Formats: sequence, structure tokens, C-alpha cells
Amino acid sequence: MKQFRKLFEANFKSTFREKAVWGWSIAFPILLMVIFLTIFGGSNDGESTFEAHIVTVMEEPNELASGIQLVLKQIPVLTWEKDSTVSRAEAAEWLKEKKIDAAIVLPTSLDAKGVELLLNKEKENSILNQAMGGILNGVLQEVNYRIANVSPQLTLQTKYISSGSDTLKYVDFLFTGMIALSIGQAGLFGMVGMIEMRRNGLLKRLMLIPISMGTFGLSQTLVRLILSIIQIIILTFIGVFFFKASLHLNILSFLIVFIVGTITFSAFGFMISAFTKSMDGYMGLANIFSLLMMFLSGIFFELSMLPSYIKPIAVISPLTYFANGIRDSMVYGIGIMNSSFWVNIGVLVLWGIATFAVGAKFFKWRA
Amino acid sequence: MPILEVKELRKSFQSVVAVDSISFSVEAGEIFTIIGPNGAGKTTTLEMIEGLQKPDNGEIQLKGMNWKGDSTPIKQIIGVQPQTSALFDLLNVYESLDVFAGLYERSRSIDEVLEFINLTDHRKKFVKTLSGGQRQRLAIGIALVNDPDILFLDEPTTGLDPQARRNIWDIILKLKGLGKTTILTTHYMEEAEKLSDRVCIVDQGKIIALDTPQNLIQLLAKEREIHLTFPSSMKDAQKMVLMVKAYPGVTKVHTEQNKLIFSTASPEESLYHLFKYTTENQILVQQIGIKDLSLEDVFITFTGKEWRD
Repeated sequence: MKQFRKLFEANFKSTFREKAVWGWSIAFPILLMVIFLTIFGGSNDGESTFEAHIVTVMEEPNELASGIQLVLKQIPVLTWEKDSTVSRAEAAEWLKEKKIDAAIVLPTSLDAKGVELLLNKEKENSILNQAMGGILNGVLQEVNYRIANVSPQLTLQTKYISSGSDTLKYVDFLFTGMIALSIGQAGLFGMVGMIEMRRNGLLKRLMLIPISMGTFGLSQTLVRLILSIIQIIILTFIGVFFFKASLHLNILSFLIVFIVGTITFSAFGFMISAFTKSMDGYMGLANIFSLLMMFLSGIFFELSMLPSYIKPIAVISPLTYFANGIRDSMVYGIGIMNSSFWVNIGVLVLWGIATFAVGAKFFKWRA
Repeated sequence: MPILEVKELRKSFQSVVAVDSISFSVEAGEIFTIIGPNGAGKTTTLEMIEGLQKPDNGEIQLKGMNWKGDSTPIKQIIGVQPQTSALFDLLNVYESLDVFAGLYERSRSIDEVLEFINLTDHRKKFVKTLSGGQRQRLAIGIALVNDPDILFLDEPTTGLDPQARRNIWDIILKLKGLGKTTILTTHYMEEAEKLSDRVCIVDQGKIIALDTPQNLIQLLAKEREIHLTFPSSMKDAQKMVLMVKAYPGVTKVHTEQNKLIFSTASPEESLYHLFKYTTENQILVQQIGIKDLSLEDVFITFTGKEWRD
């Protein structure tokens, strides 16, 4: 026990006195998360930020046109660039200048069949254009019913269902992904110290001491866990307080995923240290794994957005399961009775055992 | 009973034989030095004794124990200062000693060790900011924390300046004062001569000579070179050539300006005759020199190689 305490003390001080650890394992993930959440997450309560600047064009005033205008004015997401109607030429000009997102040309007479929607060609594929089409369709349908004096029996009620109990906001998705990523990276890169300890003979030196290498490994693991706890606390704090991420923690499943994940990625780093002799070699190899995992494990975007030929990587990546596990236990509150929990744990454990075994087979204690 | 006994030690790496049946024994309290050029097999021999490498063949006994059965008790009674620094760079001097002390059953007080290696004033200094000599002293300090019976110091002074080397020598001699047994490897002949009770010269994996430094030198000391310098002219020197040549034991005689140089197997006798002659004839002798033989000469004689540091 005293041996374990002393080795832990040495590893702990060696880790936390290293500025690079604070930079790469703490500051870098924070920066990355803040940047991504600021760009993609939005901080306004996660509510819809959809907003369209529009004008209407009324070439010949008539009752139908005024009626449609009235309905449109009630739609909250439409912002009116000008309250009164404008000419077609003016609207076209504003569209080109991107001063407005869309212009609606109201019918010229009571009998006219068409309502035109003018949109900017350059934004052809934007969500806004599709949404405007949808909104206008809805409005016209409503007007059509009124003209026909019928009330619709069926209306579409869309609800988004996420696998958890609450609606998943992008913020939740991203901040849990970032936690998984930063712990994963700390593990992948964290074993670089072994290279230096092997180079300066410290590993060899430790073999001259009446301790088992298991005690040494265990003390290292405990230091990695402490680093991961710091990462989780800081990232969760920022996510929840600054970006209004939701937190539905299932303590038990979270703790298991967290411990298993931290150990698995440390084992991965250990394997990298077994295959590399120099610091540069280690960092190069760790970077390859890190980049592959970072973008192909559902950290920044859903796996369903990946092209099919690349999906197999996502399916085997340990980070996929770690991110899922962290998300499930931190945002959805999914417990250990859920089968997905066991899938995540199972894959992580397999990776941990495999990388540790390969690492132990090829690891050299001496330079 | 010797504290360390090594029998027929052999180790090869692929086709290269690094250590080829080395045997020796060391008594308690000795400073035993293994010298030899780079690649002679010094470190491999040491690491086999320390249990870091398995010998292909041979036996090692430390205080009657061997690595097969008693690896933990052996580790408790040995202290090792490896060739590479092998320190936690981000710990300070005190912490380094404290961490290692905590890994053993028995340990010396840290303050005592600090005093011993003369680092008390630098106890709060981080390892990475220490000078080469300080690092080496700390490494020796770490080797001492478990109050070991046998110390292994692998080239403790390599790369240090003369002052730092002398500091390490003092520490090694102090260790002898404490009754510790020290196994030392070095590149420096001067160091081996100065510190060791016995020296073992290793070349190409084999022991080529093993004895006290004095005995080793005496093996060669059949002939000594003597030179006398005269103040006046070269006449005096030249006058004596034929006479000196007739002394028993003298082999070569020649002059260099006002210097008379000769080799003799019996220096005392030759010098007695010579000084008798100069006194009787009132010839002034300005300088006299007898060339000392060193371990370096021993090495060259045994291996036929130039000594290379």
C-alpha cells in the first residue's frame, strides 16, 4: 500500500506538473468545445433560431391578396423587411443583395391561381428555402380551406422523438461527445511519458525495485482517472452553465462507462508506446488514431451523415461506443438495465483487453 | 564467504558474444572495479548481476541468494545507479529520494542521504534543473535510500567535469568507510587506480586481468624508465652513457640534449651507482624522474590496444 501510494505520488506529480498535460488534456478540449458550441450549438436555450426576412409583392390590390397577407403576418418566424408591400422589381433587387431571404408575390386578382415565391438562387439548397416553401404551402392550404369554407379533418402534427426521454439538442450531443473525445485523447496521447521513461532508463530502474509492474500500472491508471474526472467536471460545467446543455445523469452507468472508457483508451496509448521508440513516432501514430476516431465516431455529427463506405470504421471505433455510453448515461439517463449500455461496455472492454494484450506482448522496458 | 560470487557468466545477443565465461568474487567492504573499453561487456555483466538480464549460462550469488529463488530479498539489499539518469524529471530532489525510499522495506532517513550526497542545499530543486554532477549524485543517493549492502555504480563519472568527478570519488570512498561493498564500472583508468581495492579488466567479454591496482602495475614493473637532467652542457650526459650501460639490469641508454634517459630492471641499484658517481665527481643533477606505470600501461600490455576513453 505504501509502495502504491509513493508510485501514485510520483506519477501524479509528474503528470500534473507537465504543462503539456494542462494544455492538451484540459485547455484544448475546452477551447474546441466552446468553438463548436458557439458555431453550431447556439446559446439561446436551444430553441429554434429559424428566422426569415421577407417582403410581399402586391401588383394589383385585391381581397384575396390582402387575405393571404393577413395570414402571413401572423406567422411568428417571418420577419418583415417592410410592412407595406413592395414592387416586384424592388423585391428582386433586395433578394439579389441578400437583404431579404424571400419575397412572396400575392395573386393579382381574385381568380388568379398562382402565388409566386421568389428565392435567392445561390441559397437554393438551404434549409430556409425548403422551410419557406413549406410555410407558404401551409398558408395557401389554409386559405384554400377558408375559400371552400371547410375545416380540415386531418392536420399534420410533427414531433421529434429522440431515443431518450427528452428532446436531444445539438448542445447535448456535442458536449457529451466532447467529453468522450477529450478523455479518449488524454488516454491516446497520455502514455507518451512511457517513451521518455524508457529512454532515460527510469522504467528499467523501476524493475530493480521490489515492486510489481502491476502496482506501477495501477498507480498510472489512477492518475489517468483523476485527469479524466477533472476534464468531465470542467466540460460539463461549461456545457451546462454556458450552453444550457441538459443533464440527466445515471450515476451508476455513467461511472462504469467512464472508468471502463478511461482504462480502455489508456491501454490504447500503452499499445502505441509499445510500437514506437521516439516521442515523434508516438505522437504521429497517436494522431492518426485520434483523427480517425475524432471524425468517425459521432462526436461532432451523427453517424448517419457518414457515407456508407466509411461507416465500418465508425462501427469498430472504440470512441463511438464511449461517446454513446457517455451520452446515454449523462443526457438520457439510461441505466445499466438497457441493452445499449452493455453493447457499449462490451465493445470498450474488448478494445481494452485487446490493446493491452498486444501492448504487453510488444512492450520493451529498455531502450 | 564472499558477498558476491559470479561463476562462468555467459551472454550472447544473436551471434555476438557479449560476455564470455566471466567469473569473480567480491568480499564484503571491497570496492571492485570493472574497467574496459566501450562494448567490452561491462554493463551486460553488471545488469546480469543486478537481475535485469538473464545470463545464458553461469551462476550469480548475492549474499548466498540467487535470482531464481530470492529476487525480492535481493532487490532489498542492492542499490543501483544506472548509466542513464533514470529519474522523474518533474520531481524535486527531496521528493525523488522520498519516493524511492517508500518502495523499500528498509530505508535511510532522507536528510541523512541528502547530507551524504551533498545536496541538502538543493533539496527543493527540480530534477530537470540539476547539473550533470548533481543528477549523478542524486542517482547515487537513490541507490542508497534502502541502505543496501551492495552498491552497483555504472560509470558514475562519465561526462562530468574534474571537480564533479572528485565529488563522486569522495562519496564512493565515504561509502567504503560505511562498510558498503561497491561494484563500479568506469572508463577512467585514473579513477580505477584511485578508488579500487581490486580491478578487473574486461575486453571482448573476457576478463584479461584481475588484481589490486598495485599488483597489476607491478606485473609490468620489471623495467622503469629514468631520466636525469643536467644543468650544464650535454657533455656530462654523454660522458655517462657508457658507464650506465654497464650497470646491471640497464637495457637502453640514450641522451637527448642535456638529458640522460635509460631503462632499468633494478632502478634502486642503478640510481645508487649513478648518484655515487655524480657526488664523487661533483656533477650537479637538476632534475630526476622515474616514469610511473599506470593501469593504462597494464591495459595496453594485456590487450595490445591503445586505451580509448
